[in-house]
Amino acid sequence: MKRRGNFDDAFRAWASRPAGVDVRRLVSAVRGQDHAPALGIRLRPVWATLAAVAFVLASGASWWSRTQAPRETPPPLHATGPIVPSPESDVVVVWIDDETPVYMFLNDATER
Amino acid sequence: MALARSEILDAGAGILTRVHDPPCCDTLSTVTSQIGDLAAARRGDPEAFGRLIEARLARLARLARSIVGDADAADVTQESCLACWRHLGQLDDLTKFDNWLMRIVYTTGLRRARWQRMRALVFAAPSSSDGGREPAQPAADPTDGIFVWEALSRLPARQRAVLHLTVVEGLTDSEIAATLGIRAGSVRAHRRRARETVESLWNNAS
Repeated sequence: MKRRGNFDDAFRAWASRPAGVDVRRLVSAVRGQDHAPALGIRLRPVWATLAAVAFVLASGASWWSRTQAPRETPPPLHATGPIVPSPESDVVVVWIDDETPVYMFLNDATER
Repeated sequence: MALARSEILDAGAGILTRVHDPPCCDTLSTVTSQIGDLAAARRGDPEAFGRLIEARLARLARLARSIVGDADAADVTQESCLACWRHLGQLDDLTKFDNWLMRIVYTTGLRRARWQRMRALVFAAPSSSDGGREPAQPAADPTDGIFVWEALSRLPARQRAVLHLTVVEGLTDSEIAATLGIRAGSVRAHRRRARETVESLWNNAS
C-alpha cells in the first residue's frame, strides 16, 4: 500500500530526529542521587507508602465522622449551686458548675 | 577471571539484541564492555551507567517521542533513565536489560500521556464548537512531521507504542509483546486499530 508506506516513512523520519537529552546532564543527575539504589535500596520503602495511605484514610474517616455526627448544642447556662453573697455586700458569686464561679460586682447608682 | 569468547558472546547476546546504535556494537570488545558497564552500574558507578544509556539513548528517545510527543519526550527519557538507575538492583536477569529499560520508558510515557489527557480536559478551551473534546484536524500536508504527531495523538498511548515498535524499530509481534509486557494477540489488535485510525486520517488529509 503506497499510502501506508508514505505514512511509515514520515513516521520513521519524525521519530528518528536527535534525542534532545544530554547524557552528561543525565549522568550528573544520576550522580546527584548517589544514595539511590543502583544497589537495590528503595528510596521510598513500601511501609512508608502504606503508612501514608493509612494516615490519610484515618484522617479522612475522622473528619467524615465528625461532620456526620449531630452537633451537641451546649446546655444553657444556669446556676448549679447556691448564689452566695460574699461578705462584701456589692459582690455576688454564682457557681455555673463545680469549678466555675462568676463574680458579679454591684455598683451603687451614685457611683456612675 | 578470563572468559572464553563464546561465553562472553552468550552472556551478552540478550543485552545487545536490540541495540542498534552504534552499529558496530556486536563486536566482542563492545559486548565485554557492555557487560562490565552493567555490572559496574549495578554496583553504583554512574559513569558506567551513562555509557550504557548513551548506547541506547536514541532508541529510548524515539519511543518516548512517539508516546508523548516532542514537548515531553526529553523529560520522559530522562525520568525513565533515573528510574532505571534507582531500580537497577532489582533487575534479576541481566539479559533482559534492554527490554526492561524500554518497558520503563513505556510505563513512564503512559503516565505522562495520561497526565497530558487530564491536563487537556481541565484546561481545554471551551470556545471550540465540539467542546474541546477532539483535537484539531491534522495538518493538510501528510508528509509533514506535524501531521505525524497529529495522527498519533488521536491514538491511545498503547496503540502509539505498538505502532512505533512495529514501524520505527521493526520488532516482531513477540518482541513487542515482551517489551511492553502484553500478549502477542493484544499487539496485533492494537496495531490493527492504530492502522485503521491513521489510515482514515491519512485519506482525509490527502
